[in-house]
Amino acid sequence: MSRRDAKSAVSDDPSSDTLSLEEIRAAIDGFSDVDWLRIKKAALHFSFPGRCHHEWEDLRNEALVRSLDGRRKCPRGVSVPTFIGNVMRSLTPEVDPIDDHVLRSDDVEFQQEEPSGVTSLAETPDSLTSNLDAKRMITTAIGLFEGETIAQMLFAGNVDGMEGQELRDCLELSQTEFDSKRKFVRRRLNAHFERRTP
Amino acid sequence: MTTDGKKAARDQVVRMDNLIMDDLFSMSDEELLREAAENGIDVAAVGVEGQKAFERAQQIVGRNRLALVRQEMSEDEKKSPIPVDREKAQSEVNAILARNREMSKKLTMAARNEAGELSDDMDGILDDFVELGAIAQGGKDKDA
Repeated sequence: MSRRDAKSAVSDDPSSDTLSLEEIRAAIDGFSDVDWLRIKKAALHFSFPGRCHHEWEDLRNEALVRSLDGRRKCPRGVSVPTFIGNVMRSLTPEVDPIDDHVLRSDDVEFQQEEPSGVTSLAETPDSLTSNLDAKRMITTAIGLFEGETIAQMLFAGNVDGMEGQELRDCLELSQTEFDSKRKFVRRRLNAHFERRTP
Repeated sequence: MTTDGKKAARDQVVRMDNLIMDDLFSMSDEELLREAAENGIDVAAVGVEGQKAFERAQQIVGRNRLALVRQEMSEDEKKSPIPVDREKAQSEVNAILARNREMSKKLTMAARNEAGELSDDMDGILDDFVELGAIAQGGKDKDA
């Protein structure tokens, strides 16, 4: 059985809502190099300086331990790499109303959404990072697309909550052009967060 | 900044996260490999490092479980023994075993690890029956 087959096999058993400890262990053991790359990229994103006090490796390791010891449970039908990504996301410090830092949500990875199981905005806790950090992050991110008007508008529209179709119509892009531009935006954001410079 | 302004800033970050996570975890392996090649990322090395992290995480989880078992055992040892009228309880156990001949054979064999005398393990069997609730702490068989 290939690594990919092993990972799929454990996700298809409908006997319970969440994967058992052995299933999650087997699934992670079956991760391909590309799965680990996805996880690393997500960890780099969420451990960006100014947002999280942990190194990306710590975030990944903590997510693995919490998944393997059963503190976090992977809903059946959600791909395990996506689940680990969401566990890391949930470990990212949130704002404390008193000192403006470090609260944690234990529930974010349960808030899954089709098709990839990524957290839905509506169910996400309303404090994610300090207001100042949030403003700074968005301003910096918009600045990454200086000179790339369409990409900048796509990113700004996206973070302002415009839906895909609405945004595509507004930008007068075909679906292919829109998808391509969106990938460009994501790659540039990834590249920025992976450089580790706030 | 107004409350709405604060929430708006956070929501923007959440939406940015969604955009990144959505793309990252839905794009094909081939696409991600192509992107990694363009960026000069050694994907195999990332995989090896990930596997090592997984193995370390398993060790940590194993150690934590072991520590928990040790703690539970230590707490069990500290518990005061259950007060039982041994003589009365023993006759109740004998009565239970007599009513369940087949079970009696299996139980006593298992208790003795298939060796030695039944009486050697009577204390252990009594404790088990009390713990299971088959015999009340005063020595009364609940099924009787």
